[in-house]
Amino acid sequence: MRSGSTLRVRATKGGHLLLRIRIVLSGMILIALVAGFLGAGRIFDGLFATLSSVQLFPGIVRILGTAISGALGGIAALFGISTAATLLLIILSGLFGRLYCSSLCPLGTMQDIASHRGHRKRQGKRSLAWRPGRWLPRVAVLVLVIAAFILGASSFAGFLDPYSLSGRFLQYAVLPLVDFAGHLLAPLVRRFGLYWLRDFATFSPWASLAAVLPVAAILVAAFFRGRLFCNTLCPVGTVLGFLNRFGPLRVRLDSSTCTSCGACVRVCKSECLDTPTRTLDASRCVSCFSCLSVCPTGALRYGLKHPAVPPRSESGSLRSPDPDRRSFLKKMGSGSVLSVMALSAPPITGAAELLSLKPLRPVPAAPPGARSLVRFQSACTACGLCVSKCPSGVLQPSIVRYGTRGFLMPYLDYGVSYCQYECTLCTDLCPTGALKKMPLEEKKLVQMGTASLVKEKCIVFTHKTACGACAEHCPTGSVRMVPSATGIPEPVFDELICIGCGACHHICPALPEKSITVAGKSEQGRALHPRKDLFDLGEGPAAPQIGEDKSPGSADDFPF
Amino acid sequence: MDRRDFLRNAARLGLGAGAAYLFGGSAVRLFAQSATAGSGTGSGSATRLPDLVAVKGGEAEALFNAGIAALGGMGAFVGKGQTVVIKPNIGWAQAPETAANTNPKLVKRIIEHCLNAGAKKVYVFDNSCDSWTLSYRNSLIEKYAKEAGAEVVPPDSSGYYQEVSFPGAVSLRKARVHELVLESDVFINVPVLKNHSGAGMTAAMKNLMGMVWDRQFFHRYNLDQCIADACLYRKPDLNVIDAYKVMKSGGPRGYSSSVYELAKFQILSTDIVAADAAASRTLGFEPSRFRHIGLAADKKSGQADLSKLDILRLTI
Repeated sequence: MRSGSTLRVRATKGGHLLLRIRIVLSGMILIALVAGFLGAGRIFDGLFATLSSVQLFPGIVRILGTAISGALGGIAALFGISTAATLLLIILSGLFGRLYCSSLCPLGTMQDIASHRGHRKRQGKRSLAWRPGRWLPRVAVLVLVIAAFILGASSFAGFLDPYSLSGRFLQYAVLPLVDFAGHLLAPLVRRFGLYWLRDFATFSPWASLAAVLPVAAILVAAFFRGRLFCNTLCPVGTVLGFLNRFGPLRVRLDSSTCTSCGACVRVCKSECLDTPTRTLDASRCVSCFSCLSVCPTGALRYGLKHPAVPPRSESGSLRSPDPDRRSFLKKMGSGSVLSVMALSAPPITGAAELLSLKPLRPVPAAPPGARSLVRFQSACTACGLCVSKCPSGVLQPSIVRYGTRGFLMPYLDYGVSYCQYECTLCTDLCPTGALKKMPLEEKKLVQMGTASLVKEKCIVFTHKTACGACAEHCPTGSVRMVPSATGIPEPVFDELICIGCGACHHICPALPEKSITVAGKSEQGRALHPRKDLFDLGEGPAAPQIGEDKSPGSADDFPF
Repeated sequence: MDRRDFLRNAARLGLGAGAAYLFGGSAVRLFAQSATAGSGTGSGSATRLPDLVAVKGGEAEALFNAGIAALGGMGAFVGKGQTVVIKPNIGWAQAPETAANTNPKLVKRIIEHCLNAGAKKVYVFDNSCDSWTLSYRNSLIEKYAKEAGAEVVPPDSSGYYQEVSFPGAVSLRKARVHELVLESDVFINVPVLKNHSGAGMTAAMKNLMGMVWDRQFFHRYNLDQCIADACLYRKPDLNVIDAYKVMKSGGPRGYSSSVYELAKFQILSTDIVAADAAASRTLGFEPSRFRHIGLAADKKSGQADLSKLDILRLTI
């Protein structure tokens, strides 16, 4: 396999071995991510969580967020497994080419499928062709993405992150279609005594539209031009492309053996191979290995720099469209200056504030672990993972509630459900660290919002009938029923132990307006521990007089 | 228990088991129904099965084994090839220790009895309060029911709830009830006995709320009346009230400060009102304290006066 410094893998009938590995691997990863987002049972959940946590863009956001937070605890968190995985992936991408782009990125694989369809559709016709690479737009976009984070509009940046784009596409566009298909199939499977029909997940047309449009545009572009998005707009592609130029192991073109036949150009999704000049733009090569299978002379290979070949021979000499390193570095330099300006200039922040719609008042309740609204808005890329996995469905994408900057970020929609007391799934899974991971006992005290009880609207007072739905659902006992003169138990509320889970708000049956409602907090607080003496005072309608002689265990006699 | 009691109980047990063995299947079910049809008349002939069986002093499974035998065995309720729906209380995403949900081992044992009696399929479901996935999982009922061979049905699809009218209902005249309750041959109600912040007590009747899609309707339009009305469409063929560990305060969800009693007790009856009347005594109160029991008795859904019932008391 190894000859000299070159890792040479023989081309076989079904394509180059590396190509086949890449296709199988990327296919499996895409299927696992799709299955995970669409909720295909618990068997996929572990794999799904791992695959989401090693996605590069959210991983980098998480690392930067943790580093900026500065606390010692934060630095300790840097040594977490998922952080290590992210750093390892960046290093591996630097050493072995754009492995993330070729296999791990769900949008990359989706683009490959679209590109493949396009290629088949226009059989024989030379559809993909070499085009010059453009660094300026790539660097500019990268700078804009960084600026978006600094300005606290991370959800904007999420519109360029291939993972977040894919997640939203699956959650807000594909899932409703799957549910619809389930509805159509339900009567059929019902005959076999199976009840697996599920209701439509709460459907937001705006979220669906916002999820479909960019991905549709990217896939159409891929149909005609392959990995165009990856090499113009994608911030991950820009960074990894930069690393790939200097990486030791990558796809290389040996201009001395290349016959300029053009076979590779027709399959190069990155449009980075040029045969007249016998050049390969490594910054755009996504390490898909398609070219390796078609090269008749073996001029294209994956490996280390060939010792016999002079250093710059790859760039050819007929024309030199490949920007040389100096001009590239110059552009990177100017990009950095731009980004420093963007970061340090308060007027820009001010302008952004003016342009952006403020969050609605009262502010929506953010998921547990968001800590503060400002912080949440600077770390969440609105990938929709928590929305997709929330067992109660209380997490819904915001359209206007968080304001413009929080577009599609998750909030607690108490109209749909309430936050489950015994659950930490969103904080466990959040790939960007926007939701702080914490033990269940700590999460149970996070104040996401605060309830307020308006007795004048309560069924117990307006209808004079028993209710108690709020107390029944309250997990901490902050709202509970106490005996009253009428004999019908009445609700009382204790703000200090309320965590704002919204159970009372969700279930309150009062019409036309709910009697108990929860408002979010822009800074999440910490509730007191539920009191131990809640029921020792003989409160509650049926608080029994323990020791009444009817107790069955007390004597051999039965209570009736 | 004196010797006479013991002999009488033993005779009943033997008769029930014998009948189940001889007739099997639906024939016994008919027999059982005719035998209980005259409940409340107080005339206890030797062939009659008790109106209500109370069992105490053992694990939940053992309590059920003894209780169901006293009612003629599961064969008296489930015929060969029939479908069964079991409706436990799986309302909360709480562990079995909290006794907020029905004892999972009891659910498992009931399923086993149904399948042994020849049931074609046994379904388990509850329209839970907390997220159903977490409630099914944390209660361990999903795990135990699957182990026993039941089909565990997700309750979250409104499409499976069909609108039916409740004849004679005062408040809950119409509601959407799950198809399983509408169509299964046998309906077994397996609540857990608890204190309840709204209704005072939750047992057999209150548990029927989980067969209905819109829970808020109950709370909005007179909770006690709706609980009583819910019995007017289809009464369960058998009620098994799990009072192994009883949450006596802080119900129905339960808090760390809730008061519990390890009662090791179980109530079985085909009469849902009688079962709840017995349950209220078990909780330490007269049945009259809970309005829904009286309202249901008024609608002739069952007998709330325990003195008019033929009660079999077993200690194991």
